[in-house]
Amino acid sequence: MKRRELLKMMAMSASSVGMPLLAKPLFAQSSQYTGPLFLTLQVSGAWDVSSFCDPKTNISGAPEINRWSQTAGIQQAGNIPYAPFGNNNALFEKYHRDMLIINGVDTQTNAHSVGILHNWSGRNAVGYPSLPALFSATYAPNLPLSYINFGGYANSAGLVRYSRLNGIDNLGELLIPNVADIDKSKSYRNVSDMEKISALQQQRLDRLSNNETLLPRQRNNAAAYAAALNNGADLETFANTLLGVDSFQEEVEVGGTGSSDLLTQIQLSVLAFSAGVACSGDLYVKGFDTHNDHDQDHEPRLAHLADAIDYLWTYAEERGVADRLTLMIASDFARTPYYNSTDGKDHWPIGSVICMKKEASWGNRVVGSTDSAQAALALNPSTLVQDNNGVIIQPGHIHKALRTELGLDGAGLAFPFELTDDLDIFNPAL
Amino acid sequence: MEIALPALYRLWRSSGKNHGLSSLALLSAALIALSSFSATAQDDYDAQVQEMYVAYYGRPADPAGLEWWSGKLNDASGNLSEIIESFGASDEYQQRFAGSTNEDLVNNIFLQVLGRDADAAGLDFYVGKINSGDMTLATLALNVANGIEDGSSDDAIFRNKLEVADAYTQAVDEGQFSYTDIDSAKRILDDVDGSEASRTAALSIIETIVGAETEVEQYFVENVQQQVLQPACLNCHIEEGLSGHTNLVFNNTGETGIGGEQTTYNIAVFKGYLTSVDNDESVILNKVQGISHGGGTQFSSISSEYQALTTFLNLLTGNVSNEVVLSEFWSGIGLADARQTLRRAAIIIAGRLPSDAEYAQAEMNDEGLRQALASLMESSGEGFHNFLIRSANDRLLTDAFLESLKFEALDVRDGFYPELTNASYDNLAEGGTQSDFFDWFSKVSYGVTRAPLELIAYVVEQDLPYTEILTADYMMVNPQSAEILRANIQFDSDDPTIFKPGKNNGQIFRDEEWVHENNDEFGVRINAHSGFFENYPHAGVLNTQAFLNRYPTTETNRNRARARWTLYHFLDLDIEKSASRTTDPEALADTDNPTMNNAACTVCHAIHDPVAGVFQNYGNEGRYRSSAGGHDALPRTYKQSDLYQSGDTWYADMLKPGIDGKEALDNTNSMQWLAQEIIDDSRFSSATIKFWWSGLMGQEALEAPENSSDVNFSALLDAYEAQQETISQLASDFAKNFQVKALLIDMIMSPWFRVSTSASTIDGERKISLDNIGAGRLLTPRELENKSYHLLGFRWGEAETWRSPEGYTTHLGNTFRIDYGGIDSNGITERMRQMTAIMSNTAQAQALAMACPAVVLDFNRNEADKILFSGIDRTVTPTSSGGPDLLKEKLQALHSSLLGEELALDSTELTESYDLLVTLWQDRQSRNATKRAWNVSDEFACKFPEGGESYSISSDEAEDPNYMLGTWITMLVYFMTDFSYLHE
Repeated sequence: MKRRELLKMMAMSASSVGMPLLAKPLFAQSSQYTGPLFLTLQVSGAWDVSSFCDPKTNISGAPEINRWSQTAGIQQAGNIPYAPFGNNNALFEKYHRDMLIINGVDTQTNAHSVGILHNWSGRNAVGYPSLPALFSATYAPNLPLSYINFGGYANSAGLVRYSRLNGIDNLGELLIPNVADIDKSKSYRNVSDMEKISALQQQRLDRLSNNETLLPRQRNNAAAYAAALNNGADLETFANTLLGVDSFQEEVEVGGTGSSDLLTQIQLSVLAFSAGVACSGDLYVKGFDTHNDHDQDHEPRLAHLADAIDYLWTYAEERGVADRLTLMIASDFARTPYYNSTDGKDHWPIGSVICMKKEASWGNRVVGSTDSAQAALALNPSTLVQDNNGVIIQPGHIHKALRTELGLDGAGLAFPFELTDDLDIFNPAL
Repeated sequence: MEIALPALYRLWRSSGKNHGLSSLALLSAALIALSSFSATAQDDYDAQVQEMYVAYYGRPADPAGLEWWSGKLNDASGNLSEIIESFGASDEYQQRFAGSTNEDLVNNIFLQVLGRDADAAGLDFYVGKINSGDMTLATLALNVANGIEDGSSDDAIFRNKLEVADAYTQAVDEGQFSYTDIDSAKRILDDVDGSEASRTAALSIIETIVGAETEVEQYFVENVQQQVLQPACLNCHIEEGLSGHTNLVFNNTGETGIGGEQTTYNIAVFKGYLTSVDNDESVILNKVQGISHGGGTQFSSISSEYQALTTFLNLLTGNVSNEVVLSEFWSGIGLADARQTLRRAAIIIAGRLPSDAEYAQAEMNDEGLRQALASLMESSGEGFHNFLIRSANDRLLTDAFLESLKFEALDVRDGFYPELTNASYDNLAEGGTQSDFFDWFSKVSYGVTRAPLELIAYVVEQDLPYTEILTADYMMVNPQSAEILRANIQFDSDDPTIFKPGKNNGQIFRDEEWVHENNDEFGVRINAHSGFFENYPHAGVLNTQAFLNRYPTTETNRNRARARWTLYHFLDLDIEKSASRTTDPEALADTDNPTMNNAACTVCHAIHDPVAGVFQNYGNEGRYRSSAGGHDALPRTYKQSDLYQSGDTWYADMLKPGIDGKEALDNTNSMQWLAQEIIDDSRFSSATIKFWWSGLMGQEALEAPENSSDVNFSALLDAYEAQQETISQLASDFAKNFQVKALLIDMIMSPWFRVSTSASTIDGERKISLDNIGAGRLLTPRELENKSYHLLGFRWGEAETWRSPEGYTTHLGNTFRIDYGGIDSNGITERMRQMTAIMSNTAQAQALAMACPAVVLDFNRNEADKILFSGIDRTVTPTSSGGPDLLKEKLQALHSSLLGEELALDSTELTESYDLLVTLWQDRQSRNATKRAWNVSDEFACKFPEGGESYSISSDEAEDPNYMLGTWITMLVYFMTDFSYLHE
């Protein structure tokens, strides 16, 4: 898609009238965020890690685990084995140095909702925030789009509020609302009038907040609105960033299995990062619950996933934010190490998590393992090597380690993993 | 009992304190002497052991202990000295008396045997013996007991105690009650003295216990064993089960009736567990709700199973119910008045503001408010209808088919609905275009998609019993879906948003008479078939195509998704909560049909799979008996296996179709059978309350907090229990006649909707408990759109389009719905409940776009037709005659209508608003040379909404000679971006 006409006109209007597109409201933040960034990529439906980052080949006499292994063997990129399936080759060969593969992760469930909860909050009981929520609360809660969610798990446990974006079309109207949508040379209302309105609204909110009779919902929502009004001004920065974009991603058809807007999500996230208006987010892609015709339906999905990951890092590099970005990729759980009667694969609780960071010291490593039948193997919590008397990796271990790696331990104090072993997953020496 | 005094004591006294024998020798001699008095018969051994229990432990013997020690005594040929030390060395004694002084211990034995302390000399003597090691407490106890003089008062006391102890032991031995509470048993003996009255009283207590135990046992058998234990606890809490390592391990074998082995054992398990947690039954009750329970939620606190378990545990402990007292939960919290309540309710459920008459009625009294609320539902037409649709979709999410989710059941090439398939073919064959067909097909799809939501709305709006959403022997059809379903319903127009009840007579079977052609150019055409299936067994929403397809299945899922959501939506049971448990490798590797045989799997599947079976007639795409031949919906791969037998309609390797242990016997209408089972279940009512909770309250019904170590756990638990109490009451009332309008009124009248103020600042845990309750709820995109539509007369961004069944799209309903926190029913299914920056910008964009046309249009309306500015015209200014008063009154009215604020003319808020108006007006005069509603130099011309002549504005009509139109436009932006405009 070509640059939106709307945005072009916005740029022209700004220059033609020689003034900002929107008067800077009171209390606006003045500096763009340049700190660390974090994204999750939530692969909904349960991916087949045996055809991805925990490759398995068939064993004589055992149920067939993967058809691709009839003609090919496990591939290796650096220290990372991968399956020759989908577009894995390009992905792993290009990014294995930036990848930490965590295999043998026990989600302890075959139920989607519980798997999502467990993977993305770190435990299988309600109430814990997502990692992007902790990240946003830690680094930049007041950015206008601090935490962007495109679907999937996004419980913020009251720490922050996440934002949603419905794609790029018409987004300009929201980023700079006082520019008329059909004549970008005009504001709807006089800019100084709007300033007066903003000032009085803040005073009204202050009076409201000082009312001791407020219930928590009223008080919290008033505070949220006040913060939204304060933080919204910098969305103009985002609009200006969008103006510099030559083309925008669109929904793509994924191998006849349905459409995906993952590339749009990625582009918007990266642009928000580069504009300094966001610091964390949840990307969301679905369609992996392939109970029927697994290979036929799963391969294009995994290929799309690999392409999207590549696009994320490529675009992040292009926009100058790749060095600051950490990415966590996971799914509800995994798929059975055998085919069912309809060539599908059903639910399997032992899966994988991938963490990525550009030139990460902890990259090019695999932690955890499964046996030939994709059962989780325990590892020694100190050495991380296989140890039958050790522990099975669960999402809580990963969250605990990732919190430390990302510097989120402070924000996570109220949501501890007290009974979870410390696994030094991000220690490159292990 | 021939020794009148404690034997050793008398011997010691008669010895003159030193007969040349050591104390130990004396003790041995005494014991030997005692033993010579012992009978050799087993009964006598039993009697002696009972004496030992009473003297040493101060309690009746338990039957097992009695038998054990009696046997030991027999083995020792009646020689007590051989077993007395072992008898005394018990954990029980250590636990009870550790840390006591020897004086206390000696006195305690005298108290247990004789009901009094030892005399001073005796105390000194025995303490000396204990201290020197010449005597143990056990031998002391025996010595004291055997030293009792026949016929003495001590003898009367001890005999009474022994008789009571014997009665107690015998009752336990006969299984009349369980011996789990040692302290209680000891207290009975403690109260026995030498009197007949004390003896009779103690025996009476035992009889009472027997009676109570009978009551407990009877209650357990009738209400707990089969209803609670069997379907839930016994899945895991058995020796070989997943929870066999816990402190609550039951028996699942043996007789389960009154006096049955399993019954007695399991009651004893409960008792033992309760004793270990100081009779705090909330530990168990919390776990069944999923709180700190590895097995997740088994029963909600408002389920009949939970209530039964509560009653049973209360019978065991003697505790009263631990329900939260609602009045305490709401202490210090004030309700909104009738006017505020009605306004909030009207905007949410009717999409409009109340009329003056409705306000007046509401302000009469509570009954008046109820009637006004009822009036909102009766007279709001589309507004209430849309609330019902929107709220129901928030749960069922079937509108996903109006977004991007593919509706498999409407695949024209599959040929199950000839009217659909042939319409596609014939259109192309007759020279039509794909878009010609798609225009009609989109309306068909809309009709089929909305069928379950429209059924729910229809049942509610027609005041039918809500049970009909599951039992209706019809579905809802629009003009286009009626065509493909051959519903034979007449419509006055082809408006796709009009729905009527009708039947699905449009499906055929792919039997031997099914003949089709497949043309590369025109697609598939059905040329012959064996007649339409006109006995579709409608079961309300359950077997609508939309419900079946929204929760799709596969050949291995086998309808479990459909069952999971049926249980969730209509029986308040979240089966996935029960699946959050360790899935051990062995269970994973189990290929012996684990869902039926492996405890790790059956824990859920025993409940889940029979309900899945009830959907037996519906294939992956939700079509009735869609397999070749039309006899069943089983997949071809299964029918080729050895498991399949001709005539089967369900898998032989799964549990039979049914629910809660009941089997659906007729495989042709098992859905209708299930519907009846569900509506007969008390959980249907509580599920209904939760179904409507979020749509009305703006927040999902609370889930039980699951981890007791969480911060704020107790605050969350308080809120949860209080809400469950309300839901329980609402459910109880609802079950009387299943009227949803009445239910909604009850919910609106409840504190959960109405609370609006606090007597003092709320902080700490109280803040957590009361979070997200009552007033101040962020309006959803549609609610905000409806509010603006009612107040301003048009919708933001409304544009006509044939692509939308309503004939138009809007910005809040479509373009910016997701940005403003709405859902797409597909990937985004949870609404955002707090404002973000992008949302506040969206609200501002709405205000900026709507304010100008709203003001200009309104000032050009006849006075009687004005929506916002009646009573003033464009010449009323802050300096015109009477202007200030008129303007303040208008601002007062706008604060009321737009923000719900009833302000005095001299209030701070109104003064601030007026000052703003004056300032804006003055500034405007200095800027606006053109004297138009918009100032062309710095403001865009109004963008008037589409919608016909009424919105066309002439140049004259936009004139603003006194700068007031422009001022009011900005003021309207101010109001429309205020917190109180966006929250209610």
